[in-house]
Amino acid sequence: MSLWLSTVVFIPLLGSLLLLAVPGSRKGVIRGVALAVMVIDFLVSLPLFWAVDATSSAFQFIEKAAWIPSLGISYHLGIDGISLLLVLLTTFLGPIVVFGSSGVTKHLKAYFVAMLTLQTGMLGTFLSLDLFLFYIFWEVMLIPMYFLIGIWGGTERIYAALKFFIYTMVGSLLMLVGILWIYFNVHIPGIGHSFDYTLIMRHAQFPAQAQLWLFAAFALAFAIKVPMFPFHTWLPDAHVQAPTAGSVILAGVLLKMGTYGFIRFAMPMFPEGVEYFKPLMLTLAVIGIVYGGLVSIVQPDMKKLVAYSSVSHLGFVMLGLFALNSQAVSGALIQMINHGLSTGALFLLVGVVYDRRHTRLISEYGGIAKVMPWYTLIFTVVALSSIGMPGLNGFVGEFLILVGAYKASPTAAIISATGVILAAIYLLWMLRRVFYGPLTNKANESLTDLKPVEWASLLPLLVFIVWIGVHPNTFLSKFAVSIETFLTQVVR
Amino acid sequence: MFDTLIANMQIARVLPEILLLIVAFLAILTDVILPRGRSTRGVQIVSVLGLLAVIAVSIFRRHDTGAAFSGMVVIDGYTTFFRVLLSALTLLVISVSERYLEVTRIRIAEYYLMLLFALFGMLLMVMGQDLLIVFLGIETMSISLYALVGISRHKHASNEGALKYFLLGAFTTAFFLYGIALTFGVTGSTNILDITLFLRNAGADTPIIAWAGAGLILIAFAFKAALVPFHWWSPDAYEGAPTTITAFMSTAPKAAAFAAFIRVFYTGFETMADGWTTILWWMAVVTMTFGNLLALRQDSVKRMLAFSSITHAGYLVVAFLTFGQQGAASILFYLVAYGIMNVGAFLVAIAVNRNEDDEKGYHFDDYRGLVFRRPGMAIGMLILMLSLAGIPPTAGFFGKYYIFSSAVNAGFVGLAVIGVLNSAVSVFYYLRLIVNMFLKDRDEATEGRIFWTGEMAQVVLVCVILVLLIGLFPDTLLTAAMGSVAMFQ
Repeated sequence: MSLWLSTVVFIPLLGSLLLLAVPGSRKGVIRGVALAVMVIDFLVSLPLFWAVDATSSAFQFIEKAAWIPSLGISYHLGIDGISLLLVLLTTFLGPIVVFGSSGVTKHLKAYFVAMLTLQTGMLGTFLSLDLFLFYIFWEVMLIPMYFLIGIWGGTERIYAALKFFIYTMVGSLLMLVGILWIYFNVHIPGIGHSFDYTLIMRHAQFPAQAQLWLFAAFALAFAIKVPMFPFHTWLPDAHVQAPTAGSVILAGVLLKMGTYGFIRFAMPMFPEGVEYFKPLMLTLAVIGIVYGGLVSIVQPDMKKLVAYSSVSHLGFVMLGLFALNSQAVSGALIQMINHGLSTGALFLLVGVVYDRRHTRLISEYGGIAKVMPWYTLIFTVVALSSIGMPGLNGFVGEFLILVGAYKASPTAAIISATGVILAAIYLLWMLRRVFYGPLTNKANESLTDLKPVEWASLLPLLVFIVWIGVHPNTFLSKFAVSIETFLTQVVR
Repeated sequence: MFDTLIANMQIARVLPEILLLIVAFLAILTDVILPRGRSTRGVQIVSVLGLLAVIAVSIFRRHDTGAAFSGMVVIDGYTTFFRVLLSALTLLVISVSERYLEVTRIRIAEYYLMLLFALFGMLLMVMGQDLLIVFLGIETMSISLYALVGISRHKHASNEGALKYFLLGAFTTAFFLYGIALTFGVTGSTNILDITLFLRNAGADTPIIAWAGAGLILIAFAFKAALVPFHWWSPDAYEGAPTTITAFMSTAPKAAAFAAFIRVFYTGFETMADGWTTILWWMAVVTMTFGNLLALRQDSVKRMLAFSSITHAGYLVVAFLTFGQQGAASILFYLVAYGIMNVGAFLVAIAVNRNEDDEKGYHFDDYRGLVFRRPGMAIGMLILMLSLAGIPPTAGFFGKYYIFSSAVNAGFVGLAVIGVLNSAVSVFYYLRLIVNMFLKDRDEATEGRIFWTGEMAQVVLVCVILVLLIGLFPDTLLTAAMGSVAMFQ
């Protein structure tokens, strides 16, 4: 049995224990250790990209060991084409958020301990194949994120952290009841009750009525996390209050756990539920796309604008997933990655001027292209990728999703397409107000351009933003087979 | 004749209880011998050592199972489980009380003696196989507790709490006795096994009087376990009692009440189980919800912990009404987890309390920025709070998980949903403390001195480690709990 996946999952946690041994005053050492741990974790996980066999939809590098035998709970990890890219996205963003934390000075050690613990929680969530283990990772992750927002956040941080915690908790507790119900109603020949995802998928036949309830319980937990309209209200608060790196993680990885939950658990396990709730989910996705876009336009605060744009972009992902054909689902998956890269980059970019000016209000800026040319260039490229300009990553995802969605529901696709236009409006308008025109505010005259550490956090993201845009097949090919299997499970 | 009587006594099987009585009397002697002022420390040491011996004997003699005193009491895995749990909880409370007694000027050795006698009563409750023994146990425990609640003689709240507790407790006694009388009238016996036999034979023709008897006994237990709507004594008693006693009362006597409750209803009135489901269902719902609503509104950490203990009792009722082995095992598991985390949390509360006068102290604001003053203590409290809120990977999470899992297994999905939603509500008030400890800045103008003795630190550390260990590796305790309830079919 290979221990590869466990190694990837637990390196950050070990790193956080290591950090505890470093004296709190040695800030340089703390940053160095955190960065080293994240880089090592990324390097350890990177070969998975080639090692995972993309021609098979089976789980690979499976690890399974009894954990709590009297309750039938096992430690069970595995990876397939769907989780592969999300795992790599997570480890890839690891070093980037360490760079992105250069503005943090308060309680640095505790900050990185929380960050590293969070990383372990997220990786574990993507790799768990035991429903119970999945739930544990899913919940454990709440605590470090709660502290990241609550301690290192802005002025309203306590409220935002509490809201984040309670929303997620309520949803996930109902999911726990669903998980329990599954456990007691699954009878695996020779084993009996089980939390084992692969066994449940192979043997379980849930009654149609039960599937509706189960889907509802799981979908609520995931929809809150995504977040889908109307469960999105925690997101702007959390994003605006969180420190830059916290926002990057939140947008980059945490939200994907919701969509991942749908594609991995809620949809394949309860096809009847998907069938029944599909119209509702599509409607909510479309509302999310348009609503998120409209609200973004009127935001005076750059970070809040990006936060609401997440609601819109994740709406596209949900639209793709519930369109239920291979183009749309592929688009949804690649869009999950795209959103992690582009929105992560946008949050970093907003953080750059925030660190210098301590304000994110669009009206405070204007014409700063004159003093920060490189910054302007990068911001423009990332914004264009988020809008969906051909040649950059966003286009690939949104195009596939819209094509697929059109097959499933032309109305939904047509309304959603306005989301792309809205994105162009809110992002380009923000670009114009922040970067172009005359430099009116004197405080902006002394702004300095990107620092090396900022380059270090942005360049890797740019590489992939372009790579996915130019040659998406490198990535699409990884999950094509898995998606076919997914569709046979969901569509009867 | 006399020989068989002696043989039926099986006196060796109740060795732990005999030992406990000897310890109690030794403690009285110590109090008399040592000079005033130093005697409490001596009594404490005798009690601690004695309790360690009681635990050791209970564990070593766990294989000597069977009835004793002609079937009046029974020693089985279940008894052993609770002997260890209850003695350990008493031990935890006693071992940290000395400093608290000094600060609150309750330096009287009777404090320890009452705790030992209360423990004796509780042990009778869990081992009693005859309703009369259970009754004797409840009374021995309760009378000691009445005295303990009122032990701060100079405090108004303490006296008020004790009086209310005593008056309502007297009612409970009447309920219980009348319940026994009715049961005896129908079945001709007070022995639980005989009652079961009779009721089994009666089958569907169970006389209405038997239902009445069981109902009265149920109410008495509900009083003792502070289940809504029979909880009215608890807010005042919990608040008026010295905080160490509040910690004790919200854990050990509750555990003992549930232990006896299970034994009587899972064995004695087993055939009637289904008849109580609806009533218990509602009782569970209102107990969980009401406890939460009360706890949400508190500004005092002591009151918050005390009220939330009502909610935790509600979770236990959820498992209780499944009337199955798994439900019983999950109660045992939860009682252990809850005992550990609650005692730990109360200890930190005692340490942080700024105002020695209980009525004004224990404010949430006292915890502001605690992590900057006492990082270890704050992190310990964080883990205890997360455990109380039921967040993995802690003992509290597994306890709740196991309870709701038994409910779902028995088909009570709706109740499990109500339970988890209550659990989510409880996050509010537990997080509030975390917010104060970690997210708010110190307020040096108002913060008081923290009194933190080595004993307290050690006990809290033990609690925290156990909470995490049980949370990560619950299997040992699960197996033990499962084994202890093997006799309930």
